[in-house]
Amino acid sequence: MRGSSRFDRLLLRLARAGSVATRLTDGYARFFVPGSLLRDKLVLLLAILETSDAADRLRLAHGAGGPLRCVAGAAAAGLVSAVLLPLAVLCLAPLQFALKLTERRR
Amino acid sequence: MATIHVVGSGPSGAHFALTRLERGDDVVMVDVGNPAPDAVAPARGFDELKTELDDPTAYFLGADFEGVMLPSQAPDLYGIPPSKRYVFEPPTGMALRTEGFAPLLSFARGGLAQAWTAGSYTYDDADLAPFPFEHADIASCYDEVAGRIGINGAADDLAQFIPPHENLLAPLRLDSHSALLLERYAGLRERLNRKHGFYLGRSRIATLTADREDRGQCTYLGRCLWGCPVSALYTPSTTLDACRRFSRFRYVDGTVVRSFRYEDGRVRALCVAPAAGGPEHEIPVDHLVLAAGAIGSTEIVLRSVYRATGELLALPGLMDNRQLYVPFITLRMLGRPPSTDAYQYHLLAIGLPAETRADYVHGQITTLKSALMHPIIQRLPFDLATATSVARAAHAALGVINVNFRDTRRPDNVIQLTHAPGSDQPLLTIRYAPDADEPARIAAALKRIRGGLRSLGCFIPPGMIELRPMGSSVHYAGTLPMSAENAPWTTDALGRCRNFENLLVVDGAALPAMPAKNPTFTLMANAVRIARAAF
Repeated sequence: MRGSSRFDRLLLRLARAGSVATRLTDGYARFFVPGSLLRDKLVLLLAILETSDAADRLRLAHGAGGPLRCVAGAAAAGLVSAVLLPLAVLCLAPLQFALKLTERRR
Repeated sequence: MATIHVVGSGPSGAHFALTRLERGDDVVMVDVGNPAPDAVAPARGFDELKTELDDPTAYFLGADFEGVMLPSQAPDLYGIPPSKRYVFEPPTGMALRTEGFAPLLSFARGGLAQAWTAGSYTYDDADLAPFPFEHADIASCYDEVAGRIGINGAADDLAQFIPPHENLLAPLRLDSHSALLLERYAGLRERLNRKHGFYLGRSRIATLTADREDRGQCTYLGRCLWGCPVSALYTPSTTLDACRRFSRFRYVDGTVVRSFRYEDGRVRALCVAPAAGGPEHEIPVDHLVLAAGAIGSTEIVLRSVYRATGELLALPGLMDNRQLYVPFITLRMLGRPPSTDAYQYHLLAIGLPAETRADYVHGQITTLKSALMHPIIQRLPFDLATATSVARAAHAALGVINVNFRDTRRPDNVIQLTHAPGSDQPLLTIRYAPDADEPARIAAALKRIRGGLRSLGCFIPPGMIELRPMGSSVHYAGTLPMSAENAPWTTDALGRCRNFENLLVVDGAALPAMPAKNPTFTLMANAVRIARAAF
């Protein structure tokens, strides 16, 4: 993969802290750094998983239960995302701004 | 009998060659001809491959993950899968400069149509008005090509815009989403036609629904995008194989045609070189047929003139269909499981007639069935975990209309040679600008499509409509147009170039107009029409 900025590398380190941290950093990157190294790596992982049998069985298991359950599950995930995004902006936007400033000064 | 040299193995070249072989001629086809890889596990469906293959990830994504659409690359909704990359591999030393145009060029055995989605539509007299012949002159050629390749569909509401032809096979089985849309349309037909000018019907598709000797019928493996493993979906390499059964056919592959040498208004020889690099040599010709695609054939003519005279000729009139992607969600399909045992490409089409018949707009509806979801998931306005959950709920409800708009020849849209700094060879240069009324036509069509989709119970997610860059429809045409007028750098009604007495142009370069319907079926039929009358 191509070279990365300091903020790119910070996002990667933070994402490794746990699943909540991954969602926080990923959600932030989706809107504010869509071409980041973190997004590239996560999408690559997603692409690999969706072509593998094991992940496919998991997808089918989660999909079982009918349309109502499926849509409700998606809505619940969306609500969680809506809570996490402002938190991510509060934590990460100042860091991104600060790192950008220090990069410019060099 | 004549010896005919044909340049290119795409739909035009292959069908021209087969017609002349059937009439007893000797045919030599000169082609770069990148071959397709062998079919993998041909009896297995999309889901089965994930358990049957040792490395399914390599099949779907490529050994170096070259098939993955990464966010940093501003990806499309779907990419070229690894198994189709051979279609676009260029020969050594290929270079191009473009302004306002992003072409895809192919050097594959079978040409660009090795990666097509098989939409096969006849041109009617309104489409053919700028042509120097009428529908009656090409109707039997459509019949013959349909018999050769196998086209399925139905004589439905779209038949008033797309004349039916002989040899139409029974249509493919619809997936549940397409079936729902067609059923809804049937109940609302009159209202949709009257209020929105929105007509819906079956796509006409070059895919077999009955077994043949050399090709099997579609068995709904859901692998169309990666290349049909049973050859049910027609590709021109099938017709090339038919040509190769004739002893009078010689296929010279691995060879790029750079230009031809001419004297006294007659082509004398092809100037060719190995595609992998190497010195040029000549192949003497009696009769030459250009079928290298509009851009390829045009380049050959331009370089031939440059070699002979030093002139940097410009050939105007380049056309391509502007395309619009209109994604939609059908509310009744939310939460349902997707059909992976289904034909993967479009099964339905729309027609939007206009006051001026030439402004007819055509679209093909692809509902999402078996597919890699990561290009879609990453575009959703959520983190990937949420987006995956949303995509799972919406998968079976997703569809996209690929809308085509017509194009016309305009003098500023040119293919020409220009000087390249640091090189003794001029550079192929393409300049294109859209028609001034294009935004208004697109807006008008979109309004009708929105109305039609709304009536069918579908909505368009905000911000997801995509105007495709010019060049992406890969329907190139217009630079050596058929014309009743005797003008330089035109061809007559039988494809004969007015500048060279023994040169035929049978590919898109010879089309004088680009209606909204996908042109490949017409390219094949036109090549047969010309071949029947040639020499």
